[in-house]
Order: sequence, then structure tokens, then C-alpha cells
Amino acid sequence: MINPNREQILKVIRRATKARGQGNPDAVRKRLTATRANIVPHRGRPDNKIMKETFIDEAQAAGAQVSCLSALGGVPVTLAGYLQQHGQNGLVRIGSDPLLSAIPWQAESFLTVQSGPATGTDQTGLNLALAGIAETGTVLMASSPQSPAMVNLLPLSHIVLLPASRLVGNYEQTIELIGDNMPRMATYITGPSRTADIEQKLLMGAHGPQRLFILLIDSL
Amino acid sequence: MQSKTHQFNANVSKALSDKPLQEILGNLSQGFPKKRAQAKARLPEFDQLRQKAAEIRAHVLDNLDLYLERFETRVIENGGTVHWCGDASDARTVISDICHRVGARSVIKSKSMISEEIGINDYLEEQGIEAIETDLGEYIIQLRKEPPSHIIAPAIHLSMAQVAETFRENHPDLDKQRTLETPRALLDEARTRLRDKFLGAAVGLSGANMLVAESGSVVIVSNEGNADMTCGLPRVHIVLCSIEKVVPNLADAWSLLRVLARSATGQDQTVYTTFITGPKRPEDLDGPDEFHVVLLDNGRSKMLGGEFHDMLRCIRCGACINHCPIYSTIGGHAYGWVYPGPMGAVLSPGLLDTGTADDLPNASTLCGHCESVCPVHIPLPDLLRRWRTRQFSDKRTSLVQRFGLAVWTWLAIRPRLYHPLSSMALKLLGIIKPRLRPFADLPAPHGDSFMSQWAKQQSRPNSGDRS
Ligand code: SF4
Repeated sequence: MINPNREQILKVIRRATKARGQGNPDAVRKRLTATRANIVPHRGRPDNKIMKETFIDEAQAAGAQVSCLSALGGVPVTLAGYLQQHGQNGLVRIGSDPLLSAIPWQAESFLTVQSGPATGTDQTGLNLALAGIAETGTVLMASSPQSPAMVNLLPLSHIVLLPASRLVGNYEQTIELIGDNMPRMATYITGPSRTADIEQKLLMGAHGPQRLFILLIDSL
Repeated sequence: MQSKTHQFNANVSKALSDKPLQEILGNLSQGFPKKRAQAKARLPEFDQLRQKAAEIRAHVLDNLDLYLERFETRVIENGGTVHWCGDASDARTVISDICHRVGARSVIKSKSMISEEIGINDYLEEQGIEAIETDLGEYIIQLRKEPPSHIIAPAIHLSMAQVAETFRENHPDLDKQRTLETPRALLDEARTRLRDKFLGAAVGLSGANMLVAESGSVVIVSNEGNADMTCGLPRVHIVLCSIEKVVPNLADAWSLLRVLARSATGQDQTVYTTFITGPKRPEDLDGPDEFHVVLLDNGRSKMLGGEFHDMLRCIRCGACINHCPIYSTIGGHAYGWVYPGPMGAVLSPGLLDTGTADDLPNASTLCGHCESVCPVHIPLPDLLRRWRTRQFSDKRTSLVQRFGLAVWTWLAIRPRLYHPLSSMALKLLGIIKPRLRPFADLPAPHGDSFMSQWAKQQSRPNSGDRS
């Protein structure tokens, strides 16, 4: 079926393009097949030695909390302490990545973990990050059956598990990482949800989580 | 949204005599402009990135048809649907047809200026479908039945007390004892109200900051998280976007994203920057079953290649608005339509009926601040001037103005008459200046005109001696 709107819009565009002597299919093809980084600022190209430090500094500046753990075994006690400190219950909605199942949850009786899609009343959601980006202290959450997207959005506290080996300097490196497997929802999260819509006063926890807690696992 | 651009002068008078509004406007410079300057200072490559951003946008406009076709192909491959809409009414029909087909009784929305442009909320309401804005600022102004006053912060014109009053009026079951005196209390009230709406809506309608041709992804940024929930919770996700928003590839998208948040709110990056690629996939536990992209032209293709072509590079960061002395004097509502400030003064006359927005390009001192902060180097003052020239050559300026200019031209080419008359005019201005209205901040001329000072200096002995 020919859509008259589509043809009409494209016709007007083509006429204007032609009149200006523009329109270069070769340049377009090139740009569509070879994604090359344009300008990457210095801050996005940290030395391996300061990668972790840069990430932590930037994430904290954006309002996230970061804890470094040597291994997965330390997750339950750290998380339980965090939730109790914020007066939350021990129910944690988690994604079903094998790495998350490998956490010794039974070590903390306060915690009850539950996988599945998030509900509107979940207080805590935990997912595995695909990458951490030092440039702005950003975590990349890629949706998949093992990583439902709303776990990152609906709860009051969003907990992100980030293996240290997944740290990169800049956004462009995550494009390579994703390759041809563009997730349905790739969400780059920089700090907790916020708004300044009332009298320009900054408040954390608008519709999304009020807190973002990143667990950086050194051994992974 | 109904345009009131033709009532510009009346709108301005109203804004200038609105004391609470003037108080809020007085604080604007302490917000976004200051934060932008700080963000810029933290990134030495900022100006280089702006140059790149401008290049990317210009390249897209030179090849718009090719990138749109590629984007469409990829969306379809990803399992989505693309709807091409020539004007606002086409887009309204497409959106309401989808809502009817899936039996939606409510639609949740994240902030989209294009949706204001096509007036979708009223249209859906007329058909018995509730449209709910979820961005906090948009939610507040929707309750107040007001248009947005800023493209980034739609309720920037309101005080906390006004918001509290609005919630009390519109949430009848709200406990009278409950205090709403802090922004936190107001936010919590809105968050709780909207949570159920999010979970109950069948359709989510969002805008888009960019469309990526390479992958067929839609890029949406938000700080509140409401955009992600709008895209991810309902059964159907509709993206409403204008045709010029496409970018070639993911790296180009990131180049633009590096300057977008910094220019807009002064953040290094927006909290949620999301790339959405198609509907829910097999085995996914959440996500919409249907993914629609409504591509809206509404006058843009006609701007392509014309005098206002460069305006299509705009990435809607709002920096020109935040730095505009006129905006910070009259606020956003005075502009009478969706887009205020310098970008609105260039865009609105191009998108609305000829002649209805003629006052907007004239409401500028052409100070050039807007151009100096624009992340994609749009020559806004130059474009404003082009509108003025066009109005003049189309004989759409007022008789008084045309007559005045004719008199001035006649005098200007007769120096013997011009000099004594202009000296007299200067003196006269010094006398009437105190009687001008207080907001007309015109410096009183002091001393003589340049020409008479020059003449005096020349007649002094040794006038040329600079030693
Ligand atoms: S014209 Fe430039 S500064 Fe103004 S909103 Fe558009 S991109 Fe931003």
C-alpha cells in the first residue's frame, strides 16, 4: 500500500535537497555501516589505573552511592545493611542472570529475593549492568528476559551489580560491546531519578528510584 | 494547542504586570544558565563538541530523505510500525485510531512538545480517552489547564504555593490536614497519584529526542524516569516525533547527547538516556506488544532548503530560552504557542499560518546571547532578522512603522538635515526617558552625538596629536 503522506513528505524533501545540490548516498552509506567515534573527551579516555576511581567519582557526583566488594559473597550483607539503614524491608526484586543466582542470598536471613517482572509496590530492584562508563559515572542496563527493564525503574532503591571488568571509559565503547545485538531497551543511568520542576529545587526520587546503589565487584 | 501568538502585545502587558511571575522570572538566571556555565567549565572539549554537533545536524538535513528511509526500514525489521503524517490532524487521527483499536481508556504521556503542537490531549479527551501527563511540570500545568511556559521546565512560571493550591483543588480526597508546604511533599503527592495511572494505562505516548537511522532506535532522555515507564509499562508504545530528528548512527547520537544535557540543565548527562529498539521480544518479562513511530512533518519539509533551513538543526535544549533577556522579562506564555524564546520566535512563524506570529521575531534585542550558547550554532539573530525583512518586503509591517522608516531613510541621506535633527532627538529622549515605563530599561543618552563630538574634537588645536 502506498502511503500518500510518505510519498508527499519525501518528495518535498528530495526537491529541496536537489535544489541545494545536496544528497550524497555514498556518504550516507558509509556513515551507516562504519560507526566511528567522533570526538571523545579526555575524561572519557582514562588510563586503566584511574578508570575505577574516575567512575566512582563521577557516579557519586551524580548522586549515586558506590561500594566496592572483592567478590559476590559480600553482596548479601552489604545489601541488607543498606536496606536497613534506609528503613526498607528485605524483599528484593532481581533479574535472573546466572551471575545473580550465584550470589549466596541465604547468607542473610533478612533478605528475600524474587525474580520476575517488577510490580508497582516493589521497594528494591537489583539488576546486572552490561557496562559502567567512567566518563559520567553511568551504568548501562540492557533489557533481556534475564534483565527486565522495569526492575530498574519502579522500585524506590535501585541496586546495580557491576563487575569491575565491565568498566569502560566512554559511551562509544558500549556501542562496540553491544555490536549487532541492540537490546530492546538500553538505558544509560546516571544517578537516581530527580526533578527540579518546582521552583527549580532539585529533588531526588521523582517517578523512578530515589536511590541508586552500585555494587562494584572487583573479582569479576 | 490553539495559538495565541497574534495577541503577543496583550500577552506581554499581562506578563509584565504579573508580580508573582516577575519574581520567579527574576530568579531564572541563577538556575540553568549558571549550571550550564559550570558544566562547560568542567569539559574543555565542549566547544569542539558543539562544532561536531552542528556538523552532524547539518549533514542529516542534507540527506534527510535517505536517513528517514533507512530509519523506517530498521523500525520495521525490528517489529515496529512507522506512520508518516503530513500535518497535525493526520497525526491525531493515527494516534486516536490506535487507542480505539486497543480499547484504551487512558493514555499516559511523557513530555513531548510535538504533542502540544498537535493538541493531542484535547483531541483524545473529546473522544473519551483520558490523556495523563506524567512529567511533574507537565502534570501540574495540565491540572491548571495551562500551556507549558518552557520546553524543558514547563511549570517554571509557578511558585510552590501555586502548585500546592492546584493539588488541593484537583485532588478532592486530599487530607486537609496534610501539609504541602515543601517541594518534597508536592512531589510525593504527584508520584503516588501517578503510580496507579502508569500501571493502568493501555497506551504510552512519548516524544523522542532522536531517531537513530543505523539501528532504528528511538532515543528518549528524562530525569524523572517517567519516560522509561511510559515506554515500558503499557501494552502499546507510541512515539511521536518530527521528521528532522533523525541522526545517522549511534556514535553521532552520543556526540549530540554530550552537548544536550549540558546545554539544557547543566547536567553532564541526563539521568535516563534510553535507546528503544522495537517492541517486546519473545521471552521478555516486560515491554509493550506494539511499537509505533509517528513521523510528523507539520511544515518542516517546507522549511528545508529555505531561509530558515538552519533552524531544523535544533535539538530542543532550551539554552537560547534560558539566556534570552526577553524571555526572562516576559516568560514563556507571552509567546502564545508551544515554543517560546528565540527558538520559538524563529520556529513558530514558520509552522503557523502566515502573519499570525509576526510579533515574535520583533520581540528581540538581537543581543546575540542565544546564538552564543546554542549547541548546534544556529544563527538565531540572523534568522530573526530574516523574518523581519520578509515581513517588511511582504508589506506586513504596520503603516506607522513603514512611514517612520521612510521618513528616516529620507533624512539619513540628507546629512545637513539629519545631524541637527538627531541631536535634538537625543536631547528630547533625555527629557522623556523618566516617563517611560519602569521595565523599559533604556539608558538615557548623555552628551552629543558621535558626529558632533567628532566635529568639536577636529576643531580643537592639535586634535590629531595622540602623544
Ligand atoms: S535553537 Fe539552539 S539553543 Fe535554542 S533550543 Fe534549539 S538547539 Fe537549543
